[in-house]
Amino acid sequence: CRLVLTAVGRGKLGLSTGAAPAGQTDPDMPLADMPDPYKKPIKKCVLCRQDVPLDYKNARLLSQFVSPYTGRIYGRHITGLCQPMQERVAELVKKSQKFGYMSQNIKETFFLSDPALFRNPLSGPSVAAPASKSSKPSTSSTESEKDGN
Amino acid sequence: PGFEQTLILKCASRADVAAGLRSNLGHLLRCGAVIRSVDNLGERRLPLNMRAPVGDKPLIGHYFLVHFESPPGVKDRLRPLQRLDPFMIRGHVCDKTEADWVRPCSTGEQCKFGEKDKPNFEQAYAVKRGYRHY
Repeated sequence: CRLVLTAVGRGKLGLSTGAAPAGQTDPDMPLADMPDPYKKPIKKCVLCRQDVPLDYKNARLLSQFVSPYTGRIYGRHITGLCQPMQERVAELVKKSQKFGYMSQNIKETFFLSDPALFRNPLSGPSVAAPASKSSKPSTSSTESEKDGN
Repeated sequence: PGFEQTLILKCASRADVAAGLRSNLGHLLRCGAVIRSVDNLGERRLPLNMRAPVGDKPLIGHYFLVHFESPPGVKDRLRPLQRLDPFMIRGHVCDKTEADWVRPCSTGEQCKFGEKDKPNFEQAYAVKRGYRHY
């Protein structure tokens, strides 16, 4: 069922009450043009939220989604990306490896100190940080490193 | 259409790298390409064990990024010319239409995080079992 809000209710919620709209004399009658208050916000992954441009030449950005031990791409249950972005990242990692920007078996040692976008499943209890710290993925590396030099 | 080539050349000396670049750009011109720009990405340690077509196994490569325009079949025409090149380690070509990839969420669609398309699959497609009452 749809929640309807009268002009009095709009005032209580802090919305503008104003005069009754054209064609409506009684301010207590329900408004037809009200936005749905139960509508969920669109959930976006890290890359979509920050609108990060992906490039196969940017080995540093793509290496953030790759294991430092085996060089394999992490699954979607670890990275937290949406399906299209995960496929795109995988495609670009493969391309980058083919073209000679990234390794297939390892992650470059000078990328190991990059900020983690997600909790690495193989790390020990030191990564189990408090909720406030782990819920904010730092994307300073992804935004600043547009060109993977 | 526009292409870009990641040219990885062997590092011997400045003159050798220059000669290698000249010969590889010549291959491109022979395939009917119009070279727009050449970016020098510098010397890097090679991330993979790469085999050069001719000569010893290299450990360092000089990276160049060549932007050019040519007819579509340039990769096939370039391959026999690159095969016996003594200066080159790798020279893969990529077309620039990859940059036109658009995020599905930018068009207003909801991002897919693995939600089931048919959440009530079992209820909808269940088969009634039991004895028929004749």
